[in-house]
Amino acid sequence: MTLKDRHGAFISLTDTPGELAVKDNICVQGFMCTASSKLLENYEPPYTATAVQKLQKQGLTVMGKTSCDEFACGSTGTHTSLANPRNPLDEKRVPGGSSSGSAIAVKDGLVRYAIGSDTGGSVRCPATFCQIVGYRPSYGQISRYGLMDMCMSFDTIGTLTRNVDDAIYLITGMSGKDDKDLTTMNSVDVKETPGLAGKRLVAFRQILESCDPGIREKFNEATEKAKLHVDVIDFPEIHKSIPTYYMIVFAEFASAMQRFDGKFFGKNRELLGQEVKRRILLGTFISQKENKDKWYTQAINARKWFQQKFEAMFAKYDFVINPTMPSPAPLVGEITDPITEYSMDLGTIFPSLMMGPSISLPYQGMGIQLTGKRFSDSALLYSARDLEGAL
Amino acid sequence: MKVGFELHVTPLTESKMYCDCPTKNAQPNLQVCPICTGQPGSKPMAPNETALRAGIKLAKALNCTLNESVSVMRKHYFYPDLPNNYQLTSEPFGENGSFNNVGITEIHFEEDPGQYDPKSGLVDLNRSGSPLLEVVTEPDIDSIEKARDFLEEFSALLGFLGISQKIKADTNVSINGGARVEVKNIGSISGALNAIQYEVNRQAKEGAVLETRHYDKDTMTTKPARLKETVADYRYMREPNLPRPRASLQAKNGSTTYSTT
Repeated sequence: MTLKDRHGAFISLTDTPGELAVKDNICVQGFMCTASSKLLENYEPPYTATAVQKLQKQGLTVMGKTSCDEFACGSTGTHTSLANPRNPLDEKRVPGGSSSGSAIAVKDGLVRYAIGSDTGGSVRCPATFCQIVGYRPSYGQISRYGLMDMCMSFDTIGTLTRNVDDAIYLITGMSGKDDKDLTTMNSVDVKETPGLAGKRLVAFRQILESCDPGIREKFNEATEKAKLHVDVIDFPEIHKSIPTYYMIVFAEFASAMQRFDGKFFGKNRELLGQEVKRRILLGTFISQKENKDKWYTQAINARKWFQQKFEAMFAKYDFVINPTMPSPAPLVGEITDPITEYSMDLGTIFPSLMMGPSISLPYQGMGIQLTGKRFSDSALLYSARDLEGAL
Repeated sequence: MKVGFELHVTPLTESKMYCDCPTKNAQPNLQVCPICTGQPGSKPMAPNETALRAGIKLAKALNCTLNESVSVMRKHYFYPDLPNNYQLTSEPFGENGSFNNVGITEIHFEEDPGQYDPKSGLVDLNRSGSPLLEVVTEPDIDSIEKARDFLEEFSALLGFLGISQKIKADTNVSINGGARVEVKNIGSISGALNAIQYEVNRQAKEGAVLETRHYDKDTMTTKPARLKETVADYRYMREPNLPRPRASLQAKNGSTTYSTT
């Protein structure tokens, strides 16, 4: 079959038509699993991820594996030498990452459904830049068995779809306990629940202020249009969520990457890209005995602080609402330093810290994100469907 | 002389520590799955309950103070027989015991690595992920006789508890307050006693440096380890793929469960 993959969505593709695209850091038997890295170009996994298996049982066929930032490290979607992902809406711009190919495949109509991984925004960021729906489930809602470890305590398998109904279909299908991922032991079934009516919404002034004025205007316009009442509160510490998150990511990532030394898995580590090498080196440094207390332990304590803060907040509010990304999709090559790239994640990181579900809806070139407390996936999905209708 | 042991006991179980693979003998690399071969994306399953039960029994018999719950840690090092390049090892679930007048520092559970043959360069992963109980003693032993007594009694205890009698005894030897030498690859009581005697003589002659040596049962001597086995920093980290807080080893009613709260 001929398929017009004009924007670098796929790394491997079958000849048979299918409805599902899978990010290439999720194992599917019969496909290579490269994590978009030259290091793993030849890795053929002997098994299929639980989440994919569940969708296959529902009758979905995997059509191909999609490009992403190498080992899911990045927010532009372009940190890979195995594909050339571009934003379908404007080829001069990045598609967003790390699940870039999955967003492109859905936007270009190559598949109806796509799944990716979301550690700190990797599904919601490309969904925003490509103007589709991106869903990050609660941590522990969907089995990660078969998803390559990036930062194990934040990693989730999420969805990229044209609308909320398609997301509900995928999330319902993938949810549930799995003996092979013990963090799923409290997973809750997704059921139709009352939607947005009566839900109490809150926004953080510091996140709104970090956005481009144009994004802020659109955000206000959207909340007015949907007749949402939003309390805007101060949360100055939210800026600390970025170093908190990245310290933990670096340390866990360095551990996860330890196996790719060419002995059983992976080729020469010289093949790794700069961002991956940077994270391995930083992660090794901060998890060493003499540095651990100063960096890693502090970050773990800060995460605990954020979790308690959010728990108190969710006693008063149902959802946090904010623009998913602070600016429009950057031009390819525009972002040259990691700090600028990390700071783009301010709106998407806090759900990871408090393990809650988070969804991004497209609205006039930007993204509206709703976030709920852990295991409120049903309420969040059906509220998001209402919001989608109102926009 | 001062001697202490790190005793690795293989409890009798049907399956491995973190997966369902059987532990019985087979042709090389047949008793394996994505988990015990460390395939990218695989996660450990709940720790083997039979192994945990055996561990609690042993800890009680060694008069240890039991910790109610422990975390499973990643211990990072590079070795040919370790697919992940980290080993899952628990925090001590029993501490401060004593047995046969020898202090028991701690007992924890861990997973066995595979088997690496340096001559052929081949690795067999059938053993990879098999359960191990590690008992660490204080360096309280000051004679060959005491060492023999302790090991024989310990072995009899394992038999009595029905845990297994497969022991490997990493042996730490020092003399006259000198550096501690660790001797690995010892698979029998007589091996341990021979290794101690050899080390005492050797250290008296050559002096001792902090190092790991391997016992050769054919020549009854020890040789410096072929590969560097002492790592300065294992970068211990709680295994995030196992839920907090960890294996609950509540032994009140004799039951051992894996808590996911």
